[in-house]
Amino acid sequence: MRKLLILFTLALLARAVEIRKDTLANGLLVLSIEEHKLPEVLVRFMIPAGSSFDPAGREGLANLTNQMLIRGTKNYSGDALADAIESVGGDLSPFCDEDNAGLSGRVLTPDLERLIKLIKECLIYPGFDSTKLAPLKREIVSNIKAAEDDPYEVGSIAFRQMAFGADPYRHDPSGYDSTVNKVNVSDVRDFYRFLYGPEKSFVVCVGDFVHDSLITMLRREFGDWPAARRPLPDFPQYPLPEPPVGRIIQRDISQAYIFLGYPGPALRAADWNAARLMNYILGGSGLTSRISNSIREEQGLAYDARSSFYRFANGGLFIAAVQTKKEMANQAIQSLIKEIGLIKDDVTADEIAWAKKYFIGHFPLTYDTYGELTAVAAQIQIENLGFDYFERYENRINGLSFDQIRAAAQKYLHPGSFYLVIVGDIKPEDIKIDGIRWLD
Amino acid sequence: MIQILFFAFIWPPIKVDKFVLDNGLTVLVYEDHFAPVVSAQIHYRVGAYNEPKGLTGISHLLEHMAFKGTKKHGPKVYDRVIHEAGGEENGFTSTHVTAYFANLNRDRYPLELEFEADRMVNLLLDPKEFEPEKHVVMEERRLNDNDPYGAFGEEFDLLTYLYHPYRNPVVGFMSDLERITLADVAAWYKKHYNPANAIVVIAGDVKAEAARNLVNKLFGKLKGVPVGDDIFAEPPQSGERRFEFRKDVRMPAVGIQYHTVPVLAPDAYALNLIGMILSQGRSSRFQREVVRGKNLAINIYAYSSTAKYGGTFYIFGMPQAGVDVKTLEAEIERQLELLKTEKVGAEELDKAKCLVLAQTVYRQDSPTGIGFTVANWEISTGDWQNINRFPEEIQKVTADDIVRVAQKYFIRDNRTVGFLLPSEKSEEK
Repeated sequence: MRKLLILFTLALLARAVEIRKDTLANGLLVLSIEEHKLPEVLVRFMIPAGSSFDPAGREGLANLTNQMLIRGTKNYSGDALADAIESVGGDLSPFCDEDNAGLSGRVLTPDLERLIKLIKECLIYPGFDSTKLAPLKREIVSNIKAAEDDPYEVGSIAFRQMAFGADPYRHDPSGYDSTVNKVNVSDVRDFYRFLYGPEKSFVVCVGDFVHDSLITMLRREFGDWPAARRPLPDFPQYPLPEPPVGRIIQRDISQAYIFLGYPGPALRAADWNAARLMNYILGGSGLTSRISNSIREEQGLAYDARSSFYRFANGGLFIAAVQTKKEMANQAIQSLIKEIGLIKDDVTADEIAWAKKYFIGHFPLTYDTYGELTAVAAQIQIENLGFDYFERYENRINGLSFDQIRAAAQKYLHPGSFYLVIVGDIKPEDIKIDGIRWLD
Repeated sequence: MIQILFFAFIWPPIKVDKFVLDNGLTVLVYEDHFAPVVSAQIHYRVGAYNEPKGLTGISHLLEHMAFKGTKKHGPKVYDRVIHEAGGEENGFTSTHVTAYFANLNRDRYPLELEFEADRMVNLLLDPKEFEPEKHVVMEERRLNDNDPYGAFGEEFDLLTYLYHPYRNPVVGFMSDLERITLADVAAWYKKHYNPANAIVVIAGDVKAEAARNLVNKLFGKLKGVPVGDDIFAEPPQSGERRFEFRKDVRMPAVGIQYHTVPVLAPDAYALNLIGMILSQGRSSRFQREVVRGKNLAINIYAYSSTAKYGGTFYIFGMPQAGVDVKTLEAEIERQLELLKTEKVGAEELDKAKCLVLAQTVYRQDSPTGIGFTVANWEISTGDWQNINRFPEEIQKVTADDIVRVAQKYFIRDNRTVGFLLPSEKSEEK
């Protein structure tokens, strides 16, 4: 060990990355990182038009609208769009999460203009042909049904429904089969008109381009993108359950898939770094976390045991999850509750120092590819981390005090009031939790 | 189009410094100075392929035990120290490989190699750690069983290979996991872990010369004993095999698997391109015609897998709600027949080639990924440089080759067809 320690005295190498920020006259923000290691460019358009904007009774509309973008435009059929990008070895894909929807693409350097023009077609001149909507709905409904065969998916979706209790975050971006089936083309057109516009959107470009030419090209292609008419959804408060509330979903499988948690911090929470450092110690650091150490290493109960925060713009979840053979479900659940309770009152200075070393030492590995740089630039914008993020990161982590981390544990950990979802061949009497209220 | 193919084609090949120590340890160094990080990896030439009946899963179980301490460092030290150094570490086992790696800040990668030199010869294999870890692996086995598609894929290999060890699941059969003793694991470790049976890969912000000196210092004194594979031949398949696989599912699926050829066989490149033509991207035949055109499937893909001693071409499809699996099977057969009877157009073939060639550029985004890939080529073909011959060979494939290869392999007697169906219990619900 002595020999190993010498290595730690070397200086850290967090590399500063220059993110250039330009804004078009219509408000579209462009974040660009020019790099010339490889002859390729990654482009990602982010539009605040995710599933949290779905109207009640039309859950899944944001996702449908997003996928319809590439199923035909004014000048291209869906097939022609796919051919145009893939014939040069490129890729153009739609994505939709809870807060944002958009398009992301990747091409070799000479095809950047082609990619930008195709994205323009999709974003500014979508076709929304009703004959393309029905087959897309069938595909999505089939996928929703297929997810019911994956016990992990079943548990995740049931957990979010229980823990959020109310929309806009209660439903998965895919929606429900019944609500997807109700969507018609005018719903899609309205959603697009209200939410797809430049003023609150941004685009990230990473790779082999020249900054000035890129901006000129984006101005030319996206300068006349008209503004959206943007309504804001209401975001309710998401309360903790008291006493605990549980739900069992029967499946004929050998294991119990366990999800235990409650609403947690949203994106941009001021104490997020303290919370994630605390969770790293609790259940976020692979085999070295307290939860994994207890459930996997000491008891041999599970292959994977962890805790995570899932954060959205206006809400979030904390989930501790484990899969274990059904006879051991109660023991695994008791261990999760115990570890959440223990760290709440007893996080140690040693653990904090160790976690800080990881967070700082690991930082350069979080943006060492074009793909990761694209994601980090988007994250900086969405979370408002500041464009000096790379320079300030080490100080931000080092500056976290013991009290701040302890306060985050106190604020975000609730061993006595949680939601519990179990997927498997389990009966309520198998699980020993005082006062728990079981839902059907 | 021509310009693009040309462009991808002149993009420089992957450059790796290879050297072999006196004890037989192969070392591959890939320099990429984009970010100040290094992926340090060790790949042992042992996996599910090498496991005899009764010991399936033992390579993977040993991989788990390798995280349980050495005589020098004791249990729980490795992960802790790597995390403290800001690293991310893991291990994986496959058909021919057991690998360990850590990605670290460039000045800290020696730490990982120091641990690997130690783990190569000094594993503790503590009886106290063995039983709980075996239970962890059994839970991993159960996770596979409860994933209907993973379990379906495992069943496919059992019926495609009746004799050849490519039938072995990497995680092992449950009864073998129950049977394997710590003494079995220790013997497996002793036989397979030594410099002559390993490849060290260092990929990222390093200089080859410095890496060479370090590897020499850490591994040079260890004794190498070449191991080698036993070679088995699957008797030729003479007749279609069909099976039903029932699980607690709502959505059925169909799979079709053909025997093909090993890696580097002349037909491997045309098979790869057929996989691209059928299912790569939204413009592929499966997506355009089967998913969007006829609304018969949600997920459907085709994949040519050419391994060290044999290959398969696998097609998997999930019908859309209300579509019968047999209807989807018939459509897949029709698609394969088309490849045999109608020449692929020049544009479609060029597009497939272009997708393959662009991938050769895109994958260089990740030094870690390049490290895995060059190790894989070194192990499966004996020479990592085959990775750079791959684009040239892809370029040479003609439309006639596609027809010929489809006619040669996509025949009824050479295939296994399986249906994933709801169990009677789940049908009642």
